[in-house]
Amino acid sequence: MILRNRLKERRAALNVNQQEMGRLCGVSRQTISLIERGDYSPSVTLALTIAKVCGVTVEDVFYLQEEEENGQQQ
Amino acid sequence: MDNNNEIKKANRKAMPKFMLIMVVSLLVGSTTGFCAAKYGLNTLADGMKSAGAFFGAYIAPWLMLAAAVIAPAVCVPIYKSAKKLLSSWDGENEETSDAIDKKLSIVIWITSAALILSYFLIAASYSGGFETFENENSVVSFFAGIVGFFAILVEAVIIQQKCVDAVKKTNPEKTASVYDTKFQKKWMDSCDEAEKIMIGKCAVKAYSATNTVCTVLAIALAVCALIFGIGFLPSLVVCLIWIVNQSVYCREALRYSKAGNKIS
Repeated sequence: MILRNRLKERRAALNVNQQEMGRLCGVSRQTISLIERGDYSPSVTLALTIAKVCGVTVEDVFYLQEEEENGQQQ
Repeated sequence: MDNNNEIKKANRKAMPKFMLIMVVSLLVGSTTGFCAAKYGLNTLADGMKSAGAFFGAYIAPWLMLAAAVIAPAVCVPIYKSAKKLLSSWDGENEETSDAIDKKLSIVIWITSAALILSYFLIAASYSGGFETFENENSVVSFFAGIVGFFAILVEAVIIQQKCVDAVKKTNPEKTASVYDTKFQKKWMDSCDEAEKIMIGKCAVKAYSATNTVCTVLAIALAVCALIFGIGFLPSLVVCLIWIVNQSVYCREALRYSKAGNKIS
């Protein structure tokens, strides 16, 4: 299972840049960038904070996706 | 049975690397032994000492001066290109911010390496003792080295401060000054969870590399103490670094095993 997210869309809906989003969530711009790219899985605390800032539930921002066949074979 | 097979498979996989290390060790050992037998231990030791004295008196000072010129010649253009990217950065483009971070990290890496190199070279310059001042050429070299050493110190502080200030522009949450005696603690405190994980991963790599280097050096220096009569001080220093490295790691591991991620 891979953790995916819709943070970029949620951030666009809030009309804030990564820097501002990071400030609202108490993390750096790089961390927001890493999460959006799927290169970093946030802690439960951070995931909840992000969801709270976006005004949605955690499941609206983060979701699990089955690994693809090719990915499993590798 | 499956577990047994897996253990055998892992052993078979690791065997070529282990054999390679053994062969290299054999070659190094036999070459050293051959040289020692052919030329005599004393001749070899004297040759090494003469080479070391020559390096300290005539090469190390000029290397320091060269490092004082080369380090900024390499770092300043990279820093300037990072600054140029920074001024054109819109605060959003990830490729640009990654490029800025990479360039600044390279500059900090080079200046740190130059600084460490200068500590070694100044010690090498001093190693001749007061005999250095008996020869006019070596006195000139010595003072050239001193100039180079202080130049590297100043350059490293200024360039690194500039880099940290540039990093602070892309990361406004970071406010620590490089001139602050508690810089590292303050910087760590301003790092978020992702940055702390990254620092942790880097620290484990550094811990592992230091252990490997200390192991190799401890063996090499023990052999050198026997062959070249270099004394036990180098071994003591290496083992001290090794013990500190191991002890700090083990102490922190014990603390974290009890407290989870509640220790910063």
